[in-house]
Amino acid sequence: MQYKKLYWMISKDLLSECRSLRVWPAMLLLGVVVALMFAMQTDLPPDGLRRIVGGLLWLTIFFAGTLALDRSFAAEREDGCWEGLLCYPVSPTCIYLAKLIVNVVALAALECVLIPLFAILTDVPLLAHPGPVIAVAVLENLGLAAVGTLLSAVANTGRQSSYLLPLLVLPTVIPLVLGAAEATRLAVEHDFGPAWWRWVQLLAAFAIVFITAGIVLFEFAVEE
Amino acid sequence: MLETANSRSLYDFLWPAVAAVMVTTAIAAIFLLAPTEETMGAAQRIVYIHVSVAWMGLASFVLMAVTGGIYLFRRDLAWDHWSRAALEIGWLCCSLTLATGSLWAHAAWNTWWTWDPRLTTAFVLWAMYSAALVLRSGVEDPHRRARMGAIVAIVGVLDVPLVVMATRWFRGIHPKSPHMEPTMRLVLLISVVCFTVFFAMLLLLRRSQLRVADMLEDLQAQAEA
Amino acid sequence: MLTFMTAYLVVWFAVLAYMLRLGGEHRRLRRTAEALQAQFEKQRPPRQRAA
Repeated sequence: MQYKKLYWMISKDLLSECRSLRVWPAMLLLGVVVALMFAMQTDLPPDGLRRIVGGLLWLTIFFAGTLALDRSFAAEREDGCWEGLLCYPVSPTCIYLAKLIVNVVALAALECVLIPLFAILTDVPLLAHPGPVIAVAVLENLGLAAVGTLLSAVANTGRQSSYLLPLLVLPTVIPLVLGAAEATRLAVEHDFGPAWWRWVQLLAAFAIVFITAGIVLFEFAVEE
Repeated sequence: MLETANSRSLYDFLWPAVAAVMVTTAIAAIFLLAPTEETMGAAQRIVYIHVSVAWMGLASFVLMAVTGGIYLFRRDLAWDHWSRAALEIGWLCCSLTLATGSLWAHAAWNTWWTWDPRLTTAFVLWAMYSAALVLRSGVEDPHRRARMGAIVAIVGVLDVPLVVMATRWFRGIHPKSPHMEPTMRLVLLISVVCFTVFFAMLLLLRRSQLRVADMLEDLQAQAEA
Repeated sequence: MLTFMTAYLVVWFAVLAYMLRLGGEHRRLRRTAEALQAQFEKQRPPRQRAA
């Protein structure tokens, strides 16, 4: 495992994003707009809100996060660096893991904005127990980024327009949406019994299965 | 080669005839042999076709993923023909599953749709089939198309158990295995077997058509060279 | 009864449509094959063509 090259690729991508701000602003803005629209439509008593806020929060994160995932390889493709990257003595696994981690960081940034925003807009105490919510967020990020990075490489081949990635990713991550939404709802209700653990295990299983699948399948997606 | 193309062997007639007889038998059984269920009436007969196409939709998906995986190892486009044929038949069967299931749901539970495990899995399957179709239509190069199709199929097949687990813990009203009279079970078995044979024949037909289409494309490329 | 018949007709028409599409594809392939055959005929040297 080429850790140095992994580190180098991750820092290159994050630095490039910091300097050029191609994707993150749009993603954060989309997340905020969708969150506001959801909050506008759900004029419910606090009890009802507690039950659905988990689902709304994670749906918003998924829609906005798909934007970042779609652009995983856009920087290299647009600047013509893709062939160059493949020529380097870097294994496809390394590229995949690097892009995965960059996407996890992007999703984490999105969550840092959206979770407090939802907590403010809906008056639901999402951040009362930050630990469990953060754990759920980390696992979900890993799963979503694993599927999204792999399918982004697949979807951006050929003459596709950008609607294809959501079409591929969203049905696949239904278990993640369900798991994260339910786990958040249980966390808000301070119910950390076996049900909560079951959902967390599902999220972890999803992440493990798809990171493994991604590592195996990614080289097929990028070979020329 | 030219001789066999012009002469018709018994096999060319035998298998379509068998499939036709089996489908007729199944339909006859469904209409005539199966007793009418007391609570839901005639609408319950939908189950015979619904289960058949549902099973076929799932089996085709697995076939598509397996042949896709074999393509990734062997790089022989013949395996991709199987994958594409399974994709088309599977999409058809999955759409029919959702349609017939929805009609039955309306008759039985007075709702067109619900988010119970099997329906959600059927929806996810249908969405992945559709996405695979859209993806394949956008890629020109046959090998690249085969590779991408295979990856999507494998991702889908890994996803289905997770979807089942997730939605089973969420909620469920789809009948597990409803109590069925022996006659009903027999008709169900007849239906499933006969429709499977029929759809399998369609699949084989489509696969050989895809193979011929590829051969003709190769010849065209040679002729222009 | 209506529900049941609707379901069966939907299945019947869907399968029929698919089989007709296969037939259309078959016709297209045959046209391509005939065009290729004509092209190969033209490309053959005159000596063989006369034979």
